[in-house]
Amino acid sequence: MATQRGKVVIVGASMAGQSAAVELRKQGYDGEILMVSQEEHLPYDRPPLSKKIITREWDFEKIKLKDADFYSENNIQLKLGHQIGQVDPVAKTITTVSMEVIGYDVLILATGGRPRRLDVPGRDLDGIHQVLEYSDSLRVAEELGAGAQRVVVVGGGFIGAEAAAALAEHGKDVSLIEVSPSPMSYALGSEVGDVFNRIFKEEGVTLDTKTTIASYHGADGRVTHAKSFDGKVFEADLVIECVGILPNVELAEAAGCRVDNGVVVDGFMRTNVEDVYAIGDIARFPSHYADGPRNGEATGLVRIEHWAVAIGHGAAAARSICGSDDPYDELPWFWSDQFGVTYNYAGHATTWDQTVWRGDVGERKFSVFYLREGRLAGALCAGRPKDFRAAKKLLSDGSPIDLEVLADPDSDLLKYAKSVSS
Amino acid sequence: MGTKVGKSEEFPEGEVRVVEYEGRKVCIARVEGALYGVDNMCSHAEAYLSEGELYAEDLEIECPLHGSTFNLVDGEPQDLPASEPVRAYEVVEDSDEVEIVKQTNDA
Repeated sequence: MATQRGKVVIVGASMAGQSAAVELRKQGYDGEILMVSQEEHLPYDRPPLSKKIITREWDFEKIKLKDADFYSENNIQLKLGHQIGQVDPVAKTITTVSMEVIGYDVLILATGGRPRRLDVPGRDLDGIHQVLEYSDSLRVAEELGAGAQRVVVVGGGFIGAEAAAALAEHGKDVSLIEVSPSPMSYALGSEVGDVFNRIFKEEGVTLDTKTTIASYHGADGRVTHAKSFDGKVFEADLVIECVGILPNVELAEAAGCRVDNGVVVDGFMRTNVEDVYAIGDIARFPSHYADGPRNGEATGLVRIEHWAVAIGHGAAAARSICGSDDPYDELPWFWSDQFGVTYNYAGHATTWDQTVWRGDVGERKFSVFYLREGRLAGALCAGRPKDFRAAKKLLSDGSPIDLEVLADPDSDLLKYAKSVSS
Repeated sequence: MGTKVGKSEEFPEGEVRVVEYEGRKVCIARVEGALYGVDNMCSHAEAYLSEGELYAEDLEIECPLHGSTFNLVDGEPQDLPASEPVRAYEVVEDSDEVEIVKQTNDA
């Protein structure tokens, strides 16, 4: 069934790239597959980098996606520790920064992102870290293991919130600095943000919001404290900056791909350049869920930096290479583990006109349904698995929601979702 | 033949019980009279499926941590984040004795 197209080269070996390689073989593709990574490590799972790696509960063995044998058994070549500097879409070659030229028939760009950094005085002091790569998180773990006690986490998005929560749970003195009014409110809104304000304070985290770090200060080249714009001083044995990523789109740009807040692709993850695909964090792709509620055939373009989306992208690119006409059209969702609670979110609500809450916020077992024009646009569920299962069905289905059923604490939402779904 | 893991009455309809089999924790669910067994440890992170939801009509059990569901018959994950199956087992009843006969998949 597979269309054999010679050699597929995948640049980037995280979830998206790995998923593409694995799915190519699953689809029966038996041409060459080469995966190039600038990291030295075997492909690994990133979600634990902000949690069980920095707390030293897990080591690399726990997060590697597959043993080395898997790649040889499946004839997937790995080229680790090599950065790609150039691409020639006419000659169909890429060139490493050490000037090795590699030919391709199909090129999949899965280059992910690099951490954004605060552009403030003192940013180059030792002890200021990110948790985007294993080597970053390992350094954090080592310094914490060596006795660092006071941690300043800059940025209260999901990664920063997780890191702050994990380290507070492990007895560290944690300050969390978030520029918006509350952790994760950028994605989840201010009502839910207020809940997280309360949770982080209850858990003993020093939380400062509506400000960010203006400067880092140190002694002997190592950070000792950070100052916020409103003049507060946060003592720091180490700092973790979690202020987002910048998508690595330069290679795609050099190849002539259209780049507009990400590499623009179609539903098959194809760029405008022949035989060049883009997947994962760099891809701006069409989605029924882009603009909130699923809305018939209308699709908007969206770029989503989530684990499950990256996996779906990789699989969709692989299917397309093998001749399938099955595009990427999955419901975006993610989870976040904080203080022993898993928060599951599905959908991609950027705006909403109403929220409906179920459950018990104080017990941290609650669901928030984000609605727009009577349809579900997103849902956040903690400790309420049936609500989440129902939400995924309702989001995929896109039908108008009976608000009375949704708001009734005694209604069986899963049963309702099944009754209205096809 | 099989390994005895309990008495029939210990496995009520619509509920999940955990037993030991060959040094592993196995959760056994009874759905419409029949018994199904899969490994208790999720194939993704460290969590026990027995502490998650049983969706009897779908013959699925859900990890309480990240919400992957597993088919009770073949152990296959139905949702990410899990991508590997859990072990599935043939479970039989023989005059009130519940026995695990063998593993039935390649997990």
